Amino acid sequence: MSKVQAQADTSILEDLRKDPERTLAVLYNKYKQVFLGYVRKFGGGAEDHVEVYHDAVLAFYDIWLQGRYDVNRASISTLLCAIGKNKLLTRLGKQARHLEWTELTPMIDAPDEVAAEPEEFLLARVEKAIDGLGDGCKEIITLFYYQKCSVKDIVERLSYKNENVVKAHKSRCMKRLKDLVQSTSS
Amino acid sequence: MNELNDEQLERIDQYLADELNATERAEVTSLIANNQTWKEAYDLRIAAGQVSKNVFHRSMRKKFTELDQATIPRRTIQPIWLAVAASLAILVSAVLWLFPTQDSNNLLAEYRTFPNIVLPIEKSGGEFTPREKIYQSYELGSYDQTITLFAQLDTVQTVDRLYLGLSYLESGNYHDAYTILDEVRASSNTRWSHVADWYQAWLLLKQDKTDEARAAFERIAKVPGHRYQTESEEVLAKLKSR
Repeated sequence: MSKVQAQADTSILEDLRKDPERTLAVLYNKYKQVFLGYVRKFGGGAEDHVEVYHDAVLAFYDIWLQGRYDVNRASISTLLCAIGKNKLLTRLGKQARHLEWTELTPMIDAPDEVAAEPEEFLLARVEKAIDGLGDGCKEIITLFYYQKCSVKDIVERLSYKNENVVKAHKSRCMKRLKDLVQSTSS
Repeated sequence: MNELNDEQLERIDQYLADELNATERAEVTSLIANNQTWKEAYDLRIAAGQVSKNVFHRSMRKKFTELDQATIPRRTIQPIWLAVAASLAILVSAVLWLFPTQDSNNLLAEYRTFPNIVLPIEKSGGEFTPREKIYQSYELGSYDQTITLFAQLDTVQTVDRLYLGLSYLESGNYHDAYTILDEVRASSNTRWSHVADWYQAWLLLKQDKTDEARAAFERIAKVPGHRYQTESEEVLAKLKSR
């Protein structure tokens, strides 16, 4: 990977921390043609390729969130293509014959850091309950529990006064969510 | 069932954020494994993260689809059509040059309402203070009502003036929005004045005053440490590239 490419990728990753939605849209447009050109040779139709690209960009984001992406080992476009190839072949039912181990495999296929998946019935209740929260609570829960932002990052991202205010707000939101979950199950 | 106190819940959050040392981590792991109350609090947080992930993915897939639809598919083009396309391109460029509103219209798709970060909605019922009612109204997008409620407030802080200006902006009353945001911009509290700078620049863009908006974004981009410095540079780059 060239130094210029590495710098460009590092810059994207910095933006990804500050504003994921907008940066993912930029990233999506930037690598789309390269990605589509690459996966075309593995078969499938245009619709498959575009849907797999959606999946690949989001999978890349989650890999990065979990701290598994090492910009010095592969460029963003290389990783997107590797993820996309696996997803496309799996989608087309070709995984047994065509998937191969590469040095990127641990980055792509490592299990989520959370050992146990929440049970489906709890997920369904939380999904329903979370709708009852205000946008402020939804945002702070997303930032902390999904996007793994530190309390300090949240102070900066949302212009809170200090870390104690964020912690207090987060605590109130989770208590409210717990009450809503309990009321949906009763 | 026993409830965990704030300190214990914070401990679980520190565990999830990987902020504990090995001994503390082992202790929390054991509590989650052996104590039902701790397990439920932990599971709720994992589920909240998972649901937030699903919501975020859905929202981004929708955005990607919109981006796909905005892209013109590539096809094999006959030479005669190349000539026609070139003529059209010149014509479109001329129109865009004459009517720069097209630039701002495209860019306006990236505009985002400033969220309510002062008193977010957390309660479903009960008594609310006048200020809570105002900010809840703003969060719900009832900007006319927000403006009315602000007029009834006894004491007004800089942050209230900011949200009043933003409410005028969202309701399309650009004249009053501009005046109030100008006032907040003059405040020494950069936490709010930077927000006012940014939204006043967008206000100008919304009014198709592209040159004035560009100047406003340039001013922000030149302020070291401005909260919206990078974003302004990006907007300027997009305005320049169109």
